[in-house]
Amino acid sequence: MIEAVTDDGVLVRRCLAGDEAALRLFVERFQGPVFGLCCRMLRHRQDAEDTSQEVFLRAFRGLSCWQPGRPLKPWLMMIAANRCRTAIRRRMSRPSAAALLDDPPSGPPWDASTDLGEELERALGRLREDHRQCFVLFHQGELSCARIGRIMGHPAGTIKTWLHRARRELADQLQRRGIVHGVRHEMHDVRT
Amino acid sequence: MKCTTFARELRSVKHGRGDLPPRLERHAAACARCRRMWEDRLLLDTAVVRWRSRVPNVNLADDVLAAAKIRPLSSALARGAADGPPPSPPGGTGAIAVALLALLLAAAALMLPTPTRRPPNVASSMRSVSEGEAANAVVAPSESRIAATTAPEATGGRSASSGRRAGALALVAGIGEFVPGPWELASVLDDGAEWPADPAGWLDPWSLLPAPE
Repeated sequence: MIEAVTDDGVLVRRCLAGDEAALRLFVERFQGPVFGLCCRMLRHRQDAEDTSQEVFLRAFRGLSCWQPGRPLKPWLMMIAANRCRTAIRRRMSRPSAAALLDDPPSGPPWDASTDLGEELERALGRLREDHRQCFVLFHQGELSCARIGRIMGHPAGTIKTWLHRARRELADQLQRRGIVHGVRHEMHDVRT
Repeated sequence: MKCTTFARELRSVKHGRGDLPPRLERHAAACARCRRMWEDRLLLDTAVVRWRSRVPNVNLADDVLAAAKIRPLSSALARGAADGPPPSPPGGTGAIAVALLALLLAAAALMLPTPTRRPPNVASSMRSVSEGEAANAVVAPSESRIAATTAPEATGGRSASSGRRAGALALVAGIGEFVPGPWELASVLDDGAEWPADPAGWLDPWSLLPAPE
């Protein structure tokens, strides 16, 4: 019967009652977005898995504080974002940082077969760290500027400015790689 | 359409979260100045959609449930099982009382005369050390994946809950999961009773300790 649970409130009530199937469903329902955010923020698969697991354990512990009228996913993503930032701080204090995903200084020359997402990831790796985190929290975590501001400890206006600069910098980087021309053709083909 | 209107409307459409109005495209086709902005926007939106779809698959359910079983999820789940309003943040009265008692006992232990030292039993010491290491080896991997605080961090890095965690009694964090900050400590200690006007009538905590021999 647990498969029929679509409402977050019902799912949370079952989790709070200690229903193991509900806990499993909770993880399965949200592991995609949580792991996605952790992956993008930390850029290291093992760290992302560990942090995602920690996010769920913390969420279980705090479920009784969740207000039923509010959406569950942003609440969970806020926990994930905070855990990721803590993990990043911890990693920066280590003497040797672990190898990060997809972070070559510059990739092979772009052609139509190169994945645009991969190019964006590469360009993100060259952004300023706070701009990168802003971009990831907004586009991958789907968090509002106000929430990102609370997470990063800055006003929402600052977050908007950082987002704008991140986008402009990314667009410039993609153009420098000669991607605009190719994508324009691609988009034109799709439209026609 | 004016270029300023174009720019404003383009900004108002959330990135990657909505379709761009066709009138903007028409203006971009006619205005070379705005075309660059339009193309950047299209490029980034396309890139973001593909970038988001590149996240690898993962199955965390087994690991999370196994970790949750190793250390029960405290009383949060049990509390939530009962219907009713969400509980207020955990109060520190009990933890404070235990902490004060522990501090008094520690102070008493320091004041007591040191017993005569015996020659150490090296064999038993080595055995107990190795047993301890073995126990740590069993516990550490699972413990490292388990969070240490009770409150979720959904309220942001500068929230009151963070302040509580950084409370003045972090020294006794192992006694209770919740460690209050100094302002809460003051409110907990202030039980409404009036203090004697004469300081001589105040209770001297050291008087509770046994007198040195």
